[in-house]
Amino acid sequence: MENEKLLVPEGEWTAEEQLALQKKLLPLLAHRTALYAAGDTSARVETVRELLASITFTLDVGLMGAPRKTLLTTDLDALFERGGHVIDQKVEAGRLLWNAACLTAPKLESRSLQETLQSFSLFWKRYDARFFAHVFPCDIDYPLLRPVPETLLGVEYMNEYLRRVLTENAVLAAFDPERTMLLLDADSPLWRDAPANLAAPVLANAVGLAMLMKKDLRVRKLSNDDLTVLSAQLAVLTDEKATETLRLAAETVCNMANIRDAASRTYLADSASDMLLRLRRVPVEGWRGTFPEME
Amino acid sequence: MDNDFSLEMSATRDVIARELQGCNALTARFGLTLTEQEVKTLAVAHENALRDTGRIAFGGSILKKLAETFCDSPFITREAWADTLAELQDDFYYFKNDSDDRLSDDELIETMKRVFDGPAQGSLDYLSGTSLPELCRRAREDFDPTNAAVTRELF
Repeated sequence: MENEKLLVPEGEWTAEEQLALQKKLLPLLAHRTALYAAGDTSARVETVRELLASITFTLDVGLMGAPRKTLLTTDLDALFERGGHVIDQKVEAGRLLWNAACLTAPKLESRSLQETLQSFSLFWKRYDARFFAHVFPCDIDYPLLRPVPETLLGVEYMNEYLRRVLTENAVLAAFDPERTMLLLDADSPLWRDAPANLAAPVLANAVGLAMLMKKDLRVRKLSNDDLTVLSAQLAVLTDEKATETLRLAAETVCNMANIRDAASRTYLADSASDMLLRLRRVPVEGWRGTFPEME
Repeated sequence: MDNDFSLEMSATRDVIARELQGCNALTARFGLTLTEQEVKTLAVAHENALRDTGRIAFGGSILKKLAETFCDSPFITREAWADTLAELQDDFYYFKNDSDDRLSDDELIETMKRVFDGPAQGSLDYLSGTSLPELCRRAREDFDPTNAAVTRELF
């Protein structure tokens, strides 16, 4: 069961500890299954598995960062209840994040972003925090600069996705939509209908300009000569130094876009450093896949 | 871990045996009792039925409810009592799945009994081959088993 791996990471628990935890979990699982079955005497194995996944997720949330081995000594019923309260709070926080993501969405006609945000509107109707708290019941079509880790589940997955959307919205808001559209057209003419990230070409262009120490990151486009200079600049750097350079350039973009919070800055620096692998693999003639050539 | 949970959550053979022995007092009034050996066989059959249908029992077995509901049927003899219970149990878990769990235990058992004593005239083949599949198909389509008009149409 995938969720059990989350709760009991391999290698960190002895077989005895795993068995002890399993025995401790059993009454809680039986109780939750009976509640779910509402008077029935049996349930499908798959259903019980999902209920267990929800329990382990809720307990994990209830731990609030405390070591997982605390589970062996703590009252699981109380912890489960606390986890439930924290999940309720996260659900409410998610509503604020979703509102903000909708309000700050770029004025660009991206169908996948619009449909994804619309799909989230059903979250509060569909999310079952009592029995299936680990499930995220909406469709996501819009790809982020960096995907949300699969280890995040349920409302935590949604909230992290929305935080990332907000960060990307902040990047896009710093640029003129007309010029952004030119960049997106250059990147892929199908961006309006296909699931394509809107911030990627904008961030790449701005990071490239920042590495060239250009002053106006918002307006200028990267010429072929610029790319040759960038290529020469990266060629002499070790991967570690090149990553650092890309991260620093992302910091410059954040400053320009007035993005102050640490999580967003780290996210964008990580996104910029992701570019290195592609830039290393492809000769400079092929870099237009990363830095689209505006008309 | 999966299997351990299934085994530990499911009622143990001893618990089932005790439940069934307790039922004998009631069913004996209708001439139906289970021997100790039959009780043991049914407890094993319970585990098999759950395994075969991919289900976990957590609130005792369904055998007790089946015994209590079916013991007054005019179509069951003492000789066939244990085998009938085993087959009813298999059918119960099978159709629980087939209805996507949309029929509660009580709704399914009541329907089984109504068909068994009615159109099936005690035929387990009829029960599992005709009315129940149709009932489950309708249950998956959100049919309300308490709706008298619809149930009349079915049976």
